[in-house]
Amino acid sequence: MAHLESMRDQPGTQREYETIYILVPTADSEQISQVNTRIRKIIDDDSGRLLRVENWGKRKLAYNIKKNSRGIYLYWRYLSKPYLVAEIERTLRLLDPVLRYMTVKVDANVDPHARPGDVDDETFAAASTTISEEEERAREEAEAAAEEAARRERYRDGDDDDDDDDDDGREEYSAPPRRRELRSVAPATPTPAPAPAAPSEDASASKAAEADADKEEE
Amino acid sequence: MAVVRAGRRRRGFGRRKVDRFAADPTLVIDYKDPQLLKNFITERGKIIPRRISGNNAKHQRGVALAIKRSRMIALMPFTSAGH
Repeated sequence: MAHLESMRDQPGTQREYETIYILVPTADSEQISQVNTRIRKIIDDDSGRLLRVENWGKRKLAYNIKKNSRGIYLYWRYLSKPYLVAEIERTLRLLDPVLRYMTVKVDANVDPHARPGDVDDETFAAASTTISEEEERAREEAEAAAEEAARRERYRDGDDDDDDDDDDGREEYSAPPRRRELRSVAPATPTPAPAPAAPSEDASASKAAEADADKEEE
Repeated sequence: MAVVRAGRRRRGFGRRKVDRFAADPTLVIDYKDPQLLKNFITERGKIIPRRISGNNAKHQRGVALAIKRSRMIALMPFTSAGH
């Protein structure tokens, strides 16, 4: 088939793409390799060049897709012409074990021979075996731990976590009242139930000082 | 409650915001790296605005795009409200 080529590409160059697709978690290595072979054939048959194929293993999805909470991720990186992407995505859409796919253009105007590809039959075959559940669980745990650490880091952000506008670690009204300049606003209102988290002694202390100041004014 | 507005030093900001990508040129914005992008969404999964995250315009565009891509292939949530 003859294809029009994009006018924005320099002649004789290809684009670099990466495609990720997610397979159902129940897919065995045979099914995976079936899908992979189909895709590889499309690329190889038409002057595309595979740079990388990776199996990311069975991962937890951020949301359920067709009632699956996990999926097998495959990551491909290759050089090709734009029309090949359409062909690859059409094929992925038709294959049953594929839950989701996405292709991203990484680079354009790439000299087809400039990028090294590390895909031979061996690494290609390796991509169709998903790492075992136990390993996967271990990896997930490590990830969760890293996340936990990051979260803790975020809370250690120098905010003193009270609601006033400075960050000196004190509640606002514990600031020492300056005499005479006090604009006291009727402190007569009975103190509402002691503020829960506030250092209540400080608060009442400054209240008392305030009351004193008032008396002086009288 | 009567609050004495004395001893106030400055209004607003608790700390200076930094653009993490400008501060560290080795940091790459990549939709395949949900661990990094997680820093730029709220617990509900919304993208944190620039005025809070501190990113400069260019990096914020990159982060937003990366998060959206990441969502499409289920590496990051669209929302974590109900599950």
